[in-house]
Amino acid sequence: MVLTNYANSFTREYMTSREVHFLVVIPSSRFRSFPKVLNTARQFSLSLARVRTAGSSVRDFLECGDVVMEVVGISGHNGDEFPVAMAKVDSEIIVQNSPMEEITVCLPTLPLSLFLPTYLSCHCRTIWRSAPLVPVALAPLSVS
Amino acid sequence: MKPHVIKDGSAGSLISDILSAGFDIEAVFSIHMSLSIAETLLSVYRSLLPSYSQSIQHLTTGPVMALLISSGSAASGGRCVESFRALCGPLEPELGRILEPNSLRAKYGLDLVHNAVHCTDLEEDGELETRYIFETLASL
Repeated sequence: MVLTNYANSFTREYMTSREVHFLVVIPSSRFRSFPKVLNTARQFSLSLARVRTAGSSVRDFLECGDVVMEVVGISGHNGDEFPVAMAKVDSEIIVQNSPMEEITVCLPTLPLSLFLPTYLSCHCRTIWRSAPLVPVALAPLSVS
Repeated sequence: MKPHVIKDGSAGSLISDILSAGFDIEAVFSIHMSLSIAETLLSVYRSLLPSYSQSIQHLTTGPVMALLISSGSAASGGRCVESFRALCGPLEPELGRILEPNSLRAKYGLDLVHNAVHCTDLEEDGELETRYIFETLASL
């Protein structure tokens, strides 16, 4: 017999390949829905991976305040229904099925108001919103 | 918000309770703390908390969620820290379930180590802890 792989690394690779990552963007005006996002994610067996308010200072938080978060689940479970459920909870909240690398890019310290238009135009694949997308002007991404 | 709350899936309910109590949440930030960060955060309690080392350990077992809270309609006269500490309740959840059953620790805490939340102690420390977590740690 030839040992081809260890159970823990095999299992880890298997589970990682089945992971589904959702990017959730909660505009500051909809922050009151943040608990509902967490509760809905829980209902669909999704775990909170990361969350932060966009910005690099307390002043940014108060001025901008959009919340960006990543929830993770296993594909094939009813977690795939999460975006549809979120659209019913709050149509202003953006939920997108994104690979982890894109979510890592999307959790910057820059104020979201500079970042979101560029992200949505360049990386958007499927956005689950009941409201139609409003065209936004591309803002140059600058680092101060 | 300590790791066991996030792991249990109670984070949404806890945040809902905070908002219902009249506080505003200005910012959120999650971080998986290292031992050194947890020790830095709780170093002032070293000689005060009987479960200090277990508390440090627990903070490193999973992501914590930091909330920047302002008083909103919950407190007047700028006593946000004092008002929020009252909402958190006694350190020991068992005691809280007797004395302050609607407090956060009574509802979401399990024991002295897994007591749901850590909150700023003193009014003058509010800004310091805020800047440490939301600016220093967030930029790492």
